[in-house]
Amino acid sequence: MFGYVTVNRPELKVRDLEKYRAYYCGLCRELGKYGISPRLLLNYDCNFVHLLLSSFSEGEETETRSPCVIHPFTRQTSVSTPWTSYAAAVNVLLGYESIKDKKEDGEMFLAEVPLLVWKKAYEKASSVNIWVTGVLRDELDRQRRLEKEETKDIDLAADPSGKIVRAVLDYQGQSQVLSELGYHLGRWIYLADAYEDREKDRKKGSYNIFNLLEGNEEDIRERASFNMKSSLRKLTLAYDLLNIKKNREILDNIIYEGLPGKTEQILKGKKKNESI
Amino acid sequence: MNPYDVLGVSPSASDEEIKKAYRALAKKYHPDRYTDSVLKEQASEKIKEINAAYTEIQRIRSGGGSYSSSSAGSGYDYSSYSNAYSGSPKYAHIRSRINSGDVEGADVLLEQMTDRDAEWHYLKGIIYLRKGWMDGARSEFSSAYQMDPTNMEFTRAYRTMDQMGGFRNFYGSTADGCNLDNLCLGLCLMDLCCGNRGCR
Repeated sequence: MFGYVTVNRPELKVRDLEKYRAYYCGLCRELGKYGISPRLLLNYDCNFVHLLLSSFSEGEETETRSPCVIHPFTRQTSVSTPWTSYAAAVNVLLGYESIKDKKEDGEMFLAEVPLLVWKKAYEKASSVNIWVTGVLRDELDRQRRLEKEETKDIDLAADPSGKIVRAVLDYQGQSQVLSELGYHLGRWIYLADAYEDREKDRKKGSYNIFNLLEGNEEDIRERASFNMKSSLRKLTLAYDLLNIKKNREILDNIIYEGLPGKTEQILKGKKKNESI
Repeated sequence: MNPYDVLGVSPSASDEEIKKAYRALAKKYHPDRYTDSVLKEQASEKIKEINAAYTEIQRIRSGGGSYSSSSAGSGYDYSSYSNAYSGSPKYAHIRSRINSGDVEGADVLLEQMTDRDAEWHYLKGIIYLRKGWMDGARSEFSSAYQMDPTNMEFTRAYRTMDQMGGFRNFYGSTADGCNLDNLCLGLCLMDLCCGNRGCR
């Protein structure tokens, strides 16, 4: 379900792209500590969490250069910060929830990993922030209920996702700016994912808000456009108020170019698999 | 905080560069951009910081003497609006709840009302907007506008939402898209969000 929050590569300086990769690499290494192949888990959205939360203070980046599981023959630079373990925990929690859904949907490939290993990883990740874990579990349960009820309300359908990302970013419940950024980012991710998957879900007979709305294809596209773009605008306003101390070029690129670019791409119905 | 850091310029920057940086930031945090945002107070704090920093730099550069603060920053001071009240008295208590930040409470009161006129839909739209429920907000503003197209409040709210999700570019800074009409439109919606103010 995730992986929409990423950079617009061509517009990023080589140095910044390397830094972005190093953060990604650092997150991947941390995930390795959970005993599940990071390849099954790692996603860009959690790397954004990693990068953003790390950027509120100066310094605190530890760089290492060494080969890794995924690239055994080259030495990769990876960055770890005081936020790396938190971002990895969030990634594991979301990964665990998504495997539960995938099993229900009959997609069994992730089930190759024994459930006990997943459970152990989940428990370890839960202890990093109990409050965030609780919000995540409750909101995902609510999302499943809403989908079962086949809600036709866009705002309601996207609300759990908004609240999850809100909790992840505003983990102490103290920053109105991070709360607003998180809510609209989560909302945007939900809508982007739903709009992109509407064909696939129609074929599978799965719930998809955009398949339940009234109107023709163009009406629905306009609805998707309005809701994605208005959330994008809100999250941009919040982002502009943050006190960023480092990695501003990368974060600016994600917010001002990555997300709008992804929005246009999804609305135009283009599928593009990018890797960094 | 060092005023140069606030404006993001080096202490050796030219007056022209400083002015440019100041103007760019003033646009970025302009109240017009934050009209319908729950973060408008934070944006207004930023504006104050920027104004203070700019004034301070001018003071330093003019030889440390006292510098009249009225010239630089006051152009972006939006704290003095008229307090003209608009709307029906029967919704006054709901508006004041929204005003004080009690959106849930306002919503409960609103739901208890059976006569759902244009203003009812308008206020419902404001509540949705506060929650970040953009689809509902647009739909309620649209109802309010259709029920009473002569009301400036409803018209402006409806048009603002319409612009927000259009294919126009809202991502970056507002840059040059700030003409008088836009400004008024924005200010009105902000005033309504924070309650009993209008620009009529």
